[in-house]
Amino acid sequence: MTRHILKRVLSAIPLLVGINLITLLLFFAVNTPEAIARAHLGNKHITEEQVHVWLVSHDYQYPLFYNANASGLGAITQTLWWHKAMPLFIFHFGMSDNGSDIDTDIKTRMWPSLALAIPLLLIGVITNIVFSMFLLIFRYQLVDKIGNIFCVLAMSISPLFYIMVGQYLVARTWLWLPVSGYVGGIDAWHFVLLPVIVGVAGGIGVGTRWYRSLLLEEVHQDYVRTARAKGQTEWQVLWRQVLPNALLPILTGIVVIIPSLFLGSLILESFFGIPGLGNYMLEAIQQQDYAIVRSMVFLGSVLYIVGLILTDIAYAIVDPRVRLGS
Amino acid sequence: MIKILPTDALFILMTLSFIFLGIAYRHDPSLQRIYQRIKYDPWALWASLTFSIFWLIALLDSIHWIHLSTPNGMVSLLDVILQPLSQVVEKSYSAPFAQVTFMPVMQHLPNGTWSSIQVPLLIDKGLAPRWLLWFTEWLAGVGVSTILLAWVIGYVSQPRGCAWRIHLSRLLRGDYSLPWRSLYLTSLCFCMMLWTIIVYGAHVHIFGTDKIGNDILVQVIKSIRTAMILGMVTSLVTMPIALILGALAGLLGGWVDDVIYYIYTTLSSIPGILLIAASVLSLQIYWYNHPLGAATPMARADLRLLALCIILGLTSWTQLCRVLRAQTLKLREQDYILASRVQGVGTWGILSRHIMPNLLPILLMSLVLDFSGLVLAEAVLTYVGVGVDPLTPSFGNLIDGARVQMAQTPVVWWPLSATFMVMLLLVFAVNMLADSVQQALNPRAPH
Repeated sequence: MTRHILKRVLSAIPLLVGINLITLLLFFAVNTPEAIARAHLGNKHITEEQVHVWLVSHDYQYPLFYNANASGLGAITQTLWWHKAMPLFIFHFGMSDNGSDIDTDIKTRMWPSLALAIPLLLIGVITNIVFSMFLLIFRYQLVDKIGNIFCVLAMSISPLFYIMVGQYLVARTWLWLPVSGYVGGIDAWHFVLLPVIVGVAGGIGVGTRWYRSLLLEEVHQDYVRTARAKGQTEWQVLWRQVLPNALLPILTGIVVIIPSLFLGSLILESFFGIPGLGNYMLEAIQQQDYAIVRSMVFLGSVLYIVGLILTDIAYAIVDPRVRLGS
Repeated sequence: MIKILPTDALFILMTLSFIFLGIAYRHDPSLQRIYQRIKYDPWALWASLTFSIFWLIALLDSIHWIHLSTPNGMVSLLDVILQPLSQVVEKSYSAPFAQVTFMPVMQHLPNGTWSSIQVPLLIDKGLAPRWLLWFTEWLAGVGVSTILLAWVIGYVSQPRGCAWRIHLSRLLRGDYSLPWRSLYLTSLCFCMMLWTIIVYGAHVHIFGTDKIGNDILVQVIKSIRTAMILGMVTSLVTMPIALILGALAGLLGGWVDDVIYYIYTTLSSIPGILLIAASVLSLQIYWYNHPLGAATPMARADLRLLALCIILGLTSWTQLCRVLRAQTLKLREQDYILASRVQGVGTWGILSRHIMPNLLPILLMSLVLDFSGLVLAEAVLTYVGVGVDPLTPSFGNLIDGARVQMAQTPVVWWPLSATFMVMLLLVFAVNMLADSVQQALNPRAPH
């Protein structure tokens, strides 16, 4: 078991190196730091001096991989690669282009993101499973077919519509909940409730269909027929036999995204003014803040890879064939 | 003089190649299954008819010629057709089917005072509305279409030697294997929409107008091209990369497989929206420092649309590549591949003769399955600020504008509602089509 986990963790290293390289090339090879400086300073009539001052103040004044002007080890350490890409491995993200510390920003902003993402995930999964179970009772009948068409309809609507209509009805017309904003602590539910409802509603179409197809694969198994033959009702069969057995694929689907919950939701947070990491990213994109976007690309990938490793470990714990085989 | 934008060329090329491939491979078993599905399943027929109409609109909007008196410097065939709807520009917002402006306007009264009143709209020259007459016209048009369609479909579907009365009752009950009722209702709905636009479009703004008085209906129809191009051209980028890399990795194995596997796992580990945002940002800064010479705003917007397609394609081929590689690994073990190897057929021969044709169903499936996601993604990306150019008419830009409109009092609800309806119709049709294609190609998939 330890061997298996170790192997999985080690196999993530080349991935991280690759991602680091991609971010470095995407951000500094497509455009030179001088080009970024010019775009940021905005003025067409800027002097070389101003560009240089901007570069030095943001630690961008080095060449990409090899510094021919420096001597000894400096040829390697005085490069963008050493200053900008290597610190990512120890989660040191440095300064953003407008001067704030990205590390502190991430630490303070991940809590609002989690406050929204965790209830959204839990309530969403439960709602979707209940809906799919309901459709499954009537499988291949009229209710199932109509339900399926409604699911396709629901997933054909852009998430932006759910947000805008939800905000308009619940917050502006009926005045039940605030339109946007956030406070820390226990009162946060006030501001999180509407985005959670909207998020769950937006995910019902895809989620219900996904869980229904997972559960449907189990419904045709032999043990289900046996349970039915022994006189269990359809409802009992579904809850006691089918659901526990389908839990493995369901859980693996959830474990993958757990680490990514920190990142929050880009559009939900921005529409509801929740100061989480999703909002942070959106602001960075709109202000063309390279340092923040680069950090978030790396962080997001790391969290996804952690999710994959966790999934593998979960599989190995639940299913002995995985760790004993190979 | 005809002016061909890059996306025009790609879209027309894709249309022609689809027609050509559809005819050339009409005996291919997987295409046959899709044809059968569309032929016999009412929902699949509805979806493919609806999708074809959207396609036609996008195609009409992809034929441009230079016309210097217009603000864009060029017009498309669709612009000419929509001319009667778009030529009257109001002063500001007006609600659907409204007779007066939405916002009160300060007006100088004859007695010398100022007063804020809702002035009549320009579209019907301030004439009194004649709802009864318009409705009669509409009813007459729809009535004629109903009878004409019923006659044509009834005639075409009539089996040889079957009496009209028996045939009619069979049609109504849906006794024939072909979904004639679905065909009839779908075409009738489109006739009704067409008559609504023809009759009412001349007197009122059916979906209202926006802040600067432009007709919303025209904008929504113009947005269809952007959505279709994003859905199709992105696949044009995705497919060759995924097909070549996936098939090579699966067939050759060894270090080639390792390298390709490494590339796509690394790429797919980066969250999609972040990778797209980062790429678009890089491109924006590149364009800031390397301006595109004397290009018109329209050409620049079109180039940005093309760039977005390419970026979306380059960042989203990994999923398809994974599936294609797995399928090739399965195919590689087949006996007929071994037989051709023994006969001395080279790697390229095996790829083109045995592997590629067998990967066709997966390619087709991914084409339809990814389409709706791309249309929806455009709206989100444009909202985030890394989508299409603000000048390009698109669903994303309309929704982005509606964000302010929904927040003001009194609320301006119609741009969002109009976008919602047309977008829902398009994405729903594509999703239903995707479902049918999936079931046709993979009958064992749970559904």
